[in-house]
This record gives sequence, C-alpha cells and structure tokens, in this order.
Amino acid sequence: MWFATIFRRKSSTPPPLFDEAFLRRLERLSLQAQRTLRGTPIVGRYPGRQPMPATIFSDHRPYVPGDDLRYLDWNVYARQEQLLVRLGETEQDVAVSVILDTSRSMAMGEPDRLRLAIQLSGAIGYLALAHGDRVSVLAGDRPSPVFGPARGKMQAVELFTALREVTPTLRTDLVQAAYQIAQRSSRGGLVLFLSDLLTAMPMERLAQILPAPRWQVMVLHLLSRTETAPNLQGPLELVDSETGERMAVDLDAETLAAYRTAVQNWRSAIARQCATYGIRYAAIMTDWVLERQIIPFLRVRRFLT
Amino acid sequence: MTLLVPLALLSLLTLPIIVILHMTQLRRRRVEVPSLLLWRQIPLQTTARRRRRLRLTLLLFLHLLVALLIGVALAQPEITLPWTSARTWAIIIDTSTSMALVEGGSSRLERARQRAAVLIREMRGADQVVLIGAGPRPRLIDRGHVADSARLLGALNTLDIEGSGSDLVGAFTIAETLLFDQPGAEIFVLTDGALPPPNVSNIRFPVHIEVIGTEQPNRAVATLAARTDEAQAVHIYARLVNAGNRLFRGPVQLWLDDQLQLTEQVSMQPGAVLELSWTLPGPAQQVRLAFDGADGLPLDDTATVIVNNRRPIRVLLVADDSPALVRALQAMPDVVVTAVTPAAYVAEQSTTADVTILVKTLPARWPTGGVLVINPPAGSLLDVRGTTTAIPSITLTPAGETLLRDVNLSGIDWGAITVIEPPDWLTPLAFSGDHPLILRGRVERSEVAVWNVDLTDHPLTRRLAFPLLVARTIRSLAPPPLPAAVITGETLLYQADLRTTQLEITAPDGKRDVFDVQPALPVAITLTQTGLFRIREWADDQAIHEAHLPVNAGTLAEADPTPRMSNTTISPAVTLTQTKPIATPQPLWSWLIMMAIIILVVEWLYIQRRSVQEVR
Repeated sequence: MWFATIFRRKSSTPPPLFDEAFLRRLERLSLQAQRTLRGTPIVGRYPGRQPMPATIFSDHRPYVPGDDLRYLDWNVYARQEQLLVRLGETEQDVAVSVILDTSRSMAMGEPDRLRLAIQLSGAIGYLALAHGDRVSVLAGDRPSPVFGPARGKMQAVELFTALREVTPTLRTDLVQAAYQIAQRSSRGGLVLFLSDLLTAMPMERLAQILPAPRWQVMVLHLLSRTETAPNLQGPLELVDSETGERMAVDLDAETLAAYRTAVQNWRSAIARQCATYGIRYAAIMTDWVLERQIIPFLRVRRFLT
Repeated sequence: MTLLVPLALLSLLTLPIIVILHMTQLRRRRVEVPSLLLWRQIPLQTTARRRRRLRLTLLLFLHLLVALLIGVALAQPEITLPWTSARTWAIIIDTSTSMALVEGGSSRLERARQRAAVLIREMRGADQVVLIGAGPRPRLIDRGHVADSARLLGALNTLDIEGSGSDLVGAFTIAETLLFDQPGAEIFVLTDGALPPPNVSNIRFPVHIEVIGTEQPNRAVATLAARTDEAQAVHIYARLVNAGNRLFRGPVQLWLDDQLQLTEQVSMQPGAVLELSWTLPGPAQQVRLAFDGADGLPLDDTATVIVNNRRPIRVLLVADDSPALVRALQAMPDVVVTAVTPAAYVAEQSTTADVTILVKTLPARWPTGGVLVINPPAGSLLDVRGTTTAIPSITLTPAGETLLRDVNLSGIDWGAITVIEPPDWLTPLAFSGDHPLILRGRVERSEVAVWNVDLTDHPLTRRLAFPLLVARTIRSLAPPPLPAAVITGETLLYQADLRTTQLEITAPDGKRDVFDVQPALPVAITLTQTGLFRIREWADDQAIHEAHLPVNAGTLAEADPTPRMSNTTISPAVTLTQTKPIATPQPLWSWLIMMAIIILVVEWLYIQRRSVQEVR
C-alpha cells in the first residue's frame, strides 16, 4: 500500500552503484572511439590513424637513420638487400573526459536522474579504465576534475568513491567545463556529456571548443517521465528548481498536449543541432534499467561496442 | 423521513459559503519542476481564460458532502423502516428471601440486578423495558425507554429483598397487562429457581427463564412459636430445616427477653426437618432463637416471637351500680376496669379508656373509642321512645350471627326494653319482636354498641351467656391484638384504635415511618426487613398504645435455595393474532456524523497521497 511508507523514516545509506558481476560483464564492451583521435601509442587498445613501426605488418618504408632497428624487415633485406622498416597499426589510448551535470534539476524526478548520471559516469569511466584509457571526470562547477586524469583499472575504486561524493549544485556551466577539458588536453579525446540539457548549451559553441576530429563529443540526454509526460492537473504554480522562478498555469488536457508537443520539439531541435555539429546524441529515459535497457541501447546507437 | 429539528437545515447555508471560499480563496498548488524552460513555450492565453472558472475538484466535492451530512445530521432526521420495530422486554426479578443468598461474593439478587442492567443497556431506538419485582406481592418497579435508562438503573439499584415467596404468576399477570399492545414483546424471568416452576402455558409472550444461582446448603428456622401458661412458664416450639446435603451439627441458642437462657447442641441429617420444644420458666415477652447455619443466607438463621401480644383493654364503667357487669368485666384477662358514677363522669376521662360503658346514662357527645350503651335514657344522642315489654324469643340478624354465634340467648325473659328509633349508623343485631334489642354502629371516632335492656336484676345476668356476651362485645369494641410474628414481605392489616390519628412504625435499623390513620380503616403494612419492629399509636400528641412486632425470614418454602428449574425459553402456547409490528423511526444523525468523519479521513489520506506524489 502506498500509505504504508508515510511514517517510515527513509534510509540515509545510498545503495552501491554497481555489483561486481555487472562490472565483469561491462569489461567485455568498449567505447566506440574514432580512429582520428590522437592518443599515446602502444598503451591503449584503440587503433591509431598514423601508421607506425609495428610488429603487426601492413606496409614497408625505407629505413632512415634513427628508426628502431627492431622493426627492420630482415627477410626482405636477405632477399632484396634493401633496408625496409615494417609499418603497421599501433594501438593507442584515448583521453576520456566525462562531464557530469550536477545542477538541481538533475536531482528532480523519480527515479533520481543524478544517480543515473553517476551510474553511467561510473560505468563508462570503469570501461575506459579497464581498456587502459586516461579518464577524468568533471562535475558541476568545480574547477578541477573530481577524478583523474588517471589510467588503469586499479583506479576504479577511486573513481567510484569520487562519484559517490558528488552532490547537486545550484547550476552547472557545461560550456565552461568543455573549455576546461580543451585547455587541459591539447591532443584531444573523447568527451561525454551527461546532462538533462535544461541549462542552455549551444552546440555550436561546444563544437568550436572541442573541434572534430581531435575531439569526439558524445551527449547523453537524461530525460525523466515527469518531464516528458508530467502527471499534473489543475491550477498550479510551477517553481523552477534552479532559478526559483514561478509560473502560474492551469493544466488541462489541451495544455498538457501543448506541453508534450513543446518537449518533442525541444528534443528534436537538440538532436538536429548535435547532428549538424558532429556531436553524437542519445536520449535516455531515467526509468530505464541500466544493464537491461541503457547499455543495449548505447550499443545499438554505437556508443559502445 | 422526518426531521426533528428542521430549523437546523439553515446550517446548509454553509454549502454556498464553501463554494465561494473555494472560488475566492483557492490557492494554486505549488509544484517544483526541474526547469521552466519548456513550460514557457505553452500558449499563456489559455491559462488566463480558465482562471475564473470554478473547478469541481474532489476536495470541493468532499467538503460539500461533509457540510451536507453535518447539516442534515443537525436536523436530526429519523427514518421509518419496516424492519426496525421496537423491542419490549418485561424483566421479572425474583425478590424472594432466597435471592439474598450469597454465592461467590455477591448475592443472587445482585447478580439478577446486573443481568437486568445489561438488558437495559442493550436498549436501542424505541425499545422499552418494564421492570417487575416478583416478591410475595408482585409490583411494577418502573418502565421506560432508552432515554430513561439512568432512571431504570437507579430503580434497579434500590431493589431489595421483599420477603418470603415469589408470586411469579402475579408478576406474569402484570407483565401481560403492560405488554398487551406489544406483539413482539418478550418476558425475562431472573430467578434463583428455588420455587416450583411456574405455569407459563397460557402466557402469550415468549418467556426466557434465566436461573441465577447453584445448589447451595441452607439451614433455617422455619417455625418458632411460644405461649405461656397460668404458671407463667414459657412453652416454646421450633422447627429447623437442613436443606444442605451434609450433616449439620451446631449449637442453638434460646433467648428470653434478650437474656440467653439455653444453648443446645443439635444435629440435623441432610434434608431433614428437626422439631424442638422447650419449657422455660417465665414470665417473658419475647423469645428469640438463633443458630449459625454456616450458609450464604444468614437471614433465616434467627427467629423471634412475642409470647403475648394481646393489648390490654382499659374499660371505664359509668354506672351507679352494676355488680354483674363488673364481675363479668373482671373475669376477662387483660381488662382493667375503672368505675365512676354518671354524676362523676367527665367526658375527657374517656380519652384514656379503650372502651366506655354507659349504663342508663348518655353524655352530650359520644366518647371516642369503644362505647357500650346499656339501657340508654332519652337524650340527644339517641331517639328513645319509652319502653315496651319484650317477647321471650329474639331474632338475630346476619350481622348479629357473627357476633352472637354460640351465645345462647334463648328462653330469657327480657322484660321491659327500651324502644329507640335507631339512626342510620346503628345496625340492629338482635330483635325482640319488631324492636331492636342489640345494635351496633360507628359514628365519627366511636364504635358504639347498644343494649336496650335494663340489667338490674335481669335474668340475663344470671345466665352463662352473659359474661360471653360482655366479653365478645368488649373485644369487638377494642382493637384486635397483633400476631406473635410475621414473615418478611407479609402484608399486615393493622387495625388501630379508633382514637388513633397517626401510626408510627420504627424498623430494626431505626428508620421511622408515620402513617395517617382514618377511623376504623385498617392500615396495610408490608414489612420487608427482618427484626423487631416497634409500632406506636398516636391520638394527636398522645401515645395511646405501643407494641412490638417481630419479622422473621425463615419459612419452610424458602428454606431450600436449590434451583428447581433451569435456563429455558418457553414459546407462547397461545397463538397471538398476527399484528404488524409497529415500525419505529430510527434516528439517522449518528450515521450521518459517522459518514462525515469517514469522509474526512478519506480526504486526509487523499491529501497525504497527493503530497507523497508531489514529493516524488
């Protein structure tokens, strides 16, 4: 019964972000990074765009002094007496930056949107750490990352600890966070935005700060049912959770239909803008289950492979 | 449906007030949303248009409903339903002596009172309860409806043991009379069953007999009698009953005039009656027998009797010379004769005499009390028309037969008798020819007997019938003696002296009752308390007589308190004419108030639920 919990004191201990089995299953996946990204060779698992001396053969080029003698093709030298260096594709790491929107609007709705965002940050961060990438997490208006940059699976515990301490802030300036990322890493990388996008975020400006192909920008738009189909009726005074602004409305079927149309138009406009500026966009409902709905959805949308 | 207070419907004016309050004071519910970014894109003109319209919300509906229910409840509506006929219960409570038996810490009567109280509290709507006490004299205690519950319970609390015997038949008669027009009535009998089962075959209502009490031992003094002989010795006879199922051994104490005279060990077999007799040296006025019955009914373990309860008769003889009459009077026991001559007679003297005998004389007015006029002279009190010679035989009237039965007055030469024209209040008892010889009547506070015969050297005075005639006449003119003792609850018809104006009765516990006495009318006294009562007769401010009367509880019928019946319900054997039960209106206000409270609770839960949803 719904009223059975009226007088029950709510537990203050939040449940754990993940269980161990989920993390093991998550390791089988990887982030879909573009080959154009520039990372540190021989470290990561992502194929680099530049051919480098490598054991995995793809082509030859003439030897020039200074080349690593280990990559000379001695078989070719024996047959043709030419010093050729074996060229191949080397694997590289990627700088993965997660920008977490912690504005108060993220703390609204049921289930908690911020918690889902933290879970997603943790999952993607763990995935990146498990594949040897450099991971940093920025949350809210904080000038420094709450985590990273760090590399290696061993850092996962620190990542989860940092994420668990993330609390809602008044507002989040995602553009400023993108600017910080661009300042810190000149080589580019993969930037993942987790936000409800209720704070104005011009995609054009984002594309300027994090230009392709050095930067690969992904936006995960977290949507709540209370936002897309609010269960409200009658005369109401709506209060903005971030600004405190108020607005009197009389909600009936007609008004709610107009609202739903506005939401649809808003989502379409964001998707169009992202597509225009080469930003990968996916809308995720907060009532989806992480492993059974969100992860498969991200694989379908090729955010994960 | 009827409204007892239709004016209270004015309270329904709160309905439009609630509507107006909702329209004017309606506050928008505040809801926090993540952002107003999207809400600002809604066309605002639609919200402004709807703002003035009253919205029929669930809360407004609930408020109107609660106000409506309370308003109607204040008008006290009553609805008449065919199945809501009122119940009528006649509760007959046995108040016989055996109900005083204490079992398990409380008496049977107390438990009967508690059961009756439960029935009274079960009354609903227009139910009615009739309380009837079934003692030696059944009586209606009280009757009432739900509103009279407190009074009925109060009457129940004052109910006490009323004496030996339970007249259940009389109680049923009272119940049937009072329930005559109540077809669905029922009769509850709360009794210890220590009496033969009543015959309820012809009762027209269902009878529920609820037996209170279990088989208990009891020992009682069933009978106590005493008399004295010429030697002043006191002969005592007692009958003790052992109603238990065990042998009883114990001492019996005998008291004469509050002095312990004898203690005797007795042994009684279970269910046996023990007869005892003693002869003790007297004189004594009062005999008391007591023993410890070791049972729950100590009332009947003691009995008291008065040995001689005859009242002395003070006779004032107003005559010049009447030796035969004086001899006859002096032969009577308990008679004190004072003789005066007519010349010395003062009317005021007669106030101290129980009987005044006037021989050949008549005063100006009749003396109070008993008056015997012999050979009356002409005067203002009687119309005397000379004398005549009587014939030898006399004729007794029916009234004379009662007084003069077995008094042989035949063969007497009556000689000259006085001829009087008897007034209306004088009744002839005997005629000599056509002339009345002996008359009897009552005038004001005087009981008058007239002998129209001159007793001087009269043959009558030499006959054996003369002292008999004198004794019977004097006894009939004086008040009768009290019994030696009475049983609790027994009604005593007390015939006071004609001079008595007030009768004072003092109970053993000191409670004093005073009754006004009408001349020659007996006073009915019901004594329900055991012990020694004091009875005093007052003539204005003068006490003219005082006597004691013991009241005992023990009787042979009440000695065995074992229930002789069981709980049962007896359906009426006589088929009643099927009449439609009278449907009684049922008050609805309590239901309406209850519904209003339920709606308020539902509203509270609804608000709580909405708050929880808003938080989510």
